[in-house]
Amino acid sequence: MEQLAGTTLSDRQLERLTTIFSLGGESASQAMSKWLRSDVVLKTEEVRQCKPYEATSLLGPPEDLITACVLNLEGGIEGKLVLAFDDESGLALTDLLLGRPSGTAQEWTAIEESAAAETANILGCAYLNELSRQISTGTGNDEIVPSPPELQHDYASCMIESLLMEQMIASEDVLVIVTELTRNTAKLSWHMLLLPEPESFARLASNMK
Amino acid sequence: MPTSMQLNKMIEVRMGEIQSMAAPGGLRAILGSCIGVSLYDSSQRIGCMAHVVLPESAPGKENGSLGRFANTAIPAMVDELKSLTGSLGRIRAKIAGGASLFAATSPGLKIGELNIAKVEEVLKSMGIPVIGRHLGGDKGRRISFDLESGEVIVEIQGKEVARL
Repeated sequence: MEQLAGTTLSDRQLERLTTIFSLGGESASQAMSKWLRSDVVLKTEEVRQCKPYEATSLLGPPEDLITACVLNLEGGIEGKLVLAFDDESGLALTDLLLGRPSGTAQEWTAIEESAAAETANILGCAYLNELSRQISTGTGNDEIVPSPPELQHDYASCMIESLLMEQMIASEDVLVIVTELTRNTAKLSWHMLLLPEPESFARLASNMK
Repeated sequence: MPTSMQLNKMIEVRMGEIQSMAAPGGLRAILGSCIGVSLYDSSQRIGCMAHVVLPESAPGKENGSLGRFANTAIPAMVDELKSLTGSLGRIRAKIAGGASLFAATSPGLKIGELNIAKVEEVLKSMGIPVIGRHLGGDKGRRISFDLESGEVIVEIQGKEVARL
């Protein structure tokens, strides 16, 4: 049994949530594979509840510099969707998208940032559209609407700290949905996190009963 | 040439934690919207750092992680310094952090600013002078508190190192 802001989830509920997020991952996999013209698979690793300081390593070693594309979510699930990567992986992604030899991009300019943001947008929309379908209650209020991606380069742990702030106001613990990405069977150094706000998570959990 | 901090022990102060120690050595933290509060007693060369996450604890929920909230962390830091030495000299504060990293996606959430205001308020009410500040902005900070000198070094990616 786990608890978040007064919400207690059974193992069965957790399992169902993992299934729902996995279906979202399948849809996003198809969109990403088409976008990158190569096989990309997103697999929901786990629905994890932990102390905030334990979450600081989710995007890599705390002092590593990373790039995060963040989409703010409204509607059926409120919270944040984050696509993050270290500089090397992020720049390699932009080379792939722009059809350049790997290693061409050496720093983040407007072109690389735009390519990364568009990737987050495509991945995010595919993932969220499927999630909207899965959580639909038939009321027409379940659509999840993402904001345009916001990019930030900074230390991994202070990114996580800022992204989880809304959850930390409501609870001692935080809840994250961790997704693993692979391309052509090789694990990528990219991370995707879904960070639901406590009220959204409670509503989602209640729909699982 | 290596600094005293590179040669001696460094303790990481994680979110919501309070750590204290005597020289030699140092304390460090990585901060986004949180505030790193560093208190130093130069006469005894002891210091304490809190990684404050939020301005205030909810009523009735003051127990537990005292370092998490500005209103509980700073009194707890003073108590800890007193318990380390038996008697406390004049302590001074240096504060850093309180950034807003995702202003566009979370325009309504100004926790950084609220944290800064509360930390300043609590320090003032306890008569602890603030002799160094590095606050606000939209970038994270890595801070290192040298207990030999009382200096707090602030690093921001792509900017010159600041010394408080």
